[in-house]
Amino acid sequence: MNLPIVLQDVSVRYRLPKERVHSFKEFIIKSFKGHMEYEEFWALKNITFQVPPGEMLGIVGRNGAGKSTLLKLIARVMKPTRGTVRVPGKVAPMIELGGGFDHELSGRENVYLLGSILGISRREMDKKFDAISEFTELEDFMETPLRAYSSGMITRLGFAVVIAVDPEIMILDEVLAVGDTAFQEKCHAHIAKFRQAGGTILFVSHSLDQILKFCDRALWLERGEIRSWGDTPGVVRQYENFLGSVAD
Amino acid sequence: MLKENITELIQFKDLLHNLVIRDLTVRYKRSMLGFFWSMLNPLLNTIVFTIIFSTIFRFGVKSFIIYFLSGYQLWNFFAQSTVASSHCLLNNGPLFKRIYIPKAIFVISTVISNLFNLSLALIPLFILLPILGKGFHLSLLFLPVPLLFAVMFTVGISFLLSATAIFFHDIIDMYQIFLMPWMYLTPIVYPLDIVPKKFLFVLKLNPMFYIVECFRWPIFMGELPHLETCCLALLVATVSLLIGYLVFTKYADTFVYYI
Repeated sequence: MNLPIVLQDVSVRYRLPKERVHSFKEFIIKSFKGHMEYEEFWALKNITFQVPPGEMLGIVGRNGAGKSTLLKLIARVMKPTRGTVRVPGKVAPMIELGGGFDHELSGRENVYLLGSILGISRREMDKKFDAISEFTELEDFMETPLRAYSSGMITRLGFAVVIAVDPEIMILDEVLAVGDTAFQEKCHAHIAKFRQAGGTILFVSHSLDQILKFCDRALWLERGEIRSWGDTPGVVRQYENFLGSVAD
Repeated sequence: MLKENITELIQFKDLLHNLVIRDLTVRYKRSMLGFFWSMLNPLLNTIVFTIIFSTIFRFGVKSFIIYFLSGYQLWNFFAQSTVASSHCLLNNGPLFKRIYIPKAIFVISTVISNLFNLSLALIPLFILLPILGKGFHLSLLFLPVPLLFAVMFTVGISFLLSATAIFFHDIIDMYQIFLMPWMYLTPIVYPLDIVPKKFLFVLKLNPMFYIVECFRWPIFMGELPHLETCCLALLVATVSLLIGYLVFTKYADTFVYYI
């Protein structure tokens, strides 16, 4: 359990048809004409870094720098084209605004559904359910279909389930800025507790203030390559300078 | 490889359970007649088909109803499962794009929830069986075997369709169009003996022919199906499952690039 996350010389290649062929008809026609041209695009190039257990790593970079691809590798959603990815322990990705939820089902049913997606059995969930519903402060809405929830309520529900999974590694993608201030405080407190218990966090944000505030180390990605990796203030300063120079 | 995939599915069995429950509740929650829909719809169809076909084929209304229902309900299970599976990966794409989930689970849960619908749809058939003078025979105990063949065949085709639909969306529409003639190439609304001998081979090229025959024989004839039919049904079911599984696992890791 006390092993680091290790990425060793990892590259990811997207190989997509130049014009997106979405139909079988087009595919047949184009293959006959010999017109299937593929475009190769390296989303990540030779990425090597480690995250020791208990550390919070901030990932910064512009749109299309490869941040999401990197998180997908760590969440095991994608496999690298080259290199090795080692992620010891259970990973719980924060799902943007409840991507795992079904709007026809009630709050309670959705908690069980998302829980099982994240690997909690029904029996475990029976034990955790009360704590989750208390954390969300939505006890009165648990039997209401999700379509009647506001987006803020859905986010709360999602956050509460993810932290109840008791993961070793948490992936936070631009999610700390949701909910009202009181709920944010609650989330921050929980994250602090999670880290004290030795949990590892990968945090992607465009808010450099949040990166500075929370992260032990930072990683700056640009066009699929690591531009800088190390102490948070140093990396953030470099990135800010770069952003300034691009804007000019 | 196979062993890994199976242990993984066991790990995610609670998710499978929840996905089936989700399918069923979402399907029935908002409809007033609830679960009765899945019984009512084929009954209405039976009335229509009986009026049309029992007079054309001079079959006798009572026999026709049993003959028709025993084939049609199984066909419906196959058709509905495969159509639902063909878009299940596209629908759940947002989910497995963010979290690791064995993709096969979406196909399997779709087939299971349709299997549940089939078991409801068979209730009227078994109620009608004694009323229409066919009665219950010991041969009914054999039904789980052809049912297993049907599930294997359906899962295989569902794997194949859902994987293909990720790359080519129009497969879904093409398949639905294709289903119609396929149903008429399976002896469901007409008896086998009206088919001219020289065209019989066309039906015998159709894998669903063996599965439907295998399932209907114990209900309609009250005896075990021919061994030859059973063997061929087992063969087409195994081949379908094997090809579907191999294609699906080969491309499963690349789905996420195309969602």
